[in-house]
Amino acid sequence: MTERTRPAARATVTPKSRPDPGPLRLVAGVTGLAALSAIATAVIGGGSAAANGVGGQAVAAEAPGPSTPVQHVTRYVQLKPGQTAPPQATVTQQPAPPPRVVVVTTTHQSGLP
Amino acid sequence: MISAADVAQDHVPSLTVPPATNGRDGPDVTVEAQLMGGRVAIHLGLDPAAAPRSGDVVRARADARAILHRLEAWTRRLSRHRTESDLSRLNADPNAEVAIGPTLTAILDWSRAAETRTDGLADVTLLEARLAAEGLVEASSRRSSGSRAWSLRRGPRGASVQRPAGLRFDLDGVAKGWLADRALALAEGYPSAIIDADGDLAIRHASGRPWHFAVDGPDGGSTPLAVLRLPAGRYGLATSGTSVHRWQVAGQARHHLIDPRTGRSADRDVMQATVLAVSARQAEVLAKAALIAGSAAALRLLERHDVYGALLVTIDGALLATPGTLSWLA
Repeated sequence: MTERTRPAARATVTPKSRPDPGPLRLVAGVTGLAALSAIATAVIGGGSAAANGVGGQAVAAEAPGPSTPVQHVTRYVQLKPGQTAPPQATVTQQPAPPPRVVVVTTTHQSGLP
Repeated sequence: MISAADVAQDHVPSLTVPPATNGRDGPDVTVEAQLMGGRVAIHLGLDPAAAPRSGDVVRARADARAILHRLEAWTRRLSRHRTESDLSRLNADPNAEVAIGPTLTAILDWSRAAETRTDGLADVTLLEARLAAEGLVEASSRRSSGSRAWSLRRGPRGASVQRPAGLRFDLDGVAKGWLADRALALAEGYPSAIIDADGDLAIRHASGRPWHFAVDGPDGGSTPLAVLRLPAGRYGLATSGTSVHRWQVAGQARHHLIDPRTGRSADRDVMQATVLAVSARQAEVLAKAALIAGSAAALRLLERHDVYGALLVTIDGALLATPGTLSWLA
């Protein structure tokens, strides 16, 4: 067991002058809540983009800080008819559907129904 | 025999694009009827560069009906299932030499050529063996001599067949493709035409979009084995197989394709053969020969005849194709 001795200068400070930890804990809690809120905003924002039909293949959000606004960067989107792309988004084309094949008739073993 | 009601029932199958939206994916007019023991259809295509007019469609439908009537008349002469046919009269005649009409003469001419092309595997003298396979007569130990056993003579008063007593002909293996080609010639006035003789097809396709033709699998299911994409040109497409016409005699599996080397139902490893060639009659006899020959010999035979393509389904389910086939697949 190690026993620490306080410095002599501090030895004159009475226990009553020590800061109260309550407010600090409150500040830390509020900061944590702000961070959680920012993360949640980023997640919900990305989700709403998909819900609006802008089906991005990759949607990235910058890591939010307590005092900076959340910025969404939509990199790739595929648009449905009538939709417009977000600013600075790269629009990708859906794969072309397979060509329509109309079968004229069939060769088969004789006697098939 | 087709009836007037059959012919009157013009039918545009759901697979055929109607004229209003026909981007030349298919023919413009289709008439069909029950014939040759199955379904026969006449498809006619109008000028691919112009929208079809109603008058043209009406005329094409009438022409398709006329072609169907001609096919029915030829079938009436060549079927062994009709006692009054030219073929049945020939088979029933006890004389060694029998006068025959021009239609029977022409198809016997083709039968001889088909036998040569298939190394003897397409043989029209196997009626006794066929009936034995059906359990209708006793199996004979006599092996076929093929076309060496009979000859055609042409004279100023017509043609005649000479053959030993008791030799009877069966044109089932050569008639459909031959008739389809003959009927296709009747549609020369149309840019495109298809004669579908119960699955054996004679095809003439004018320029425009490629047309697609499905190949049914051995089970005849709704999913095709393959789809062939044919650009403008003249083709024959035919399929032979043993999984539809099949029955049991004395506990043994039998079918209608007789191997002339054994006189019995062919028992090689091919269950179904489809051939794409320059004509329906060639496709038909080569498909039958492929099935009788077995896969290894069949692929050699088909390559020797330079067919456009061929698909073989073996009894263990493998799908074999000649190298050129891939370029025709959709």
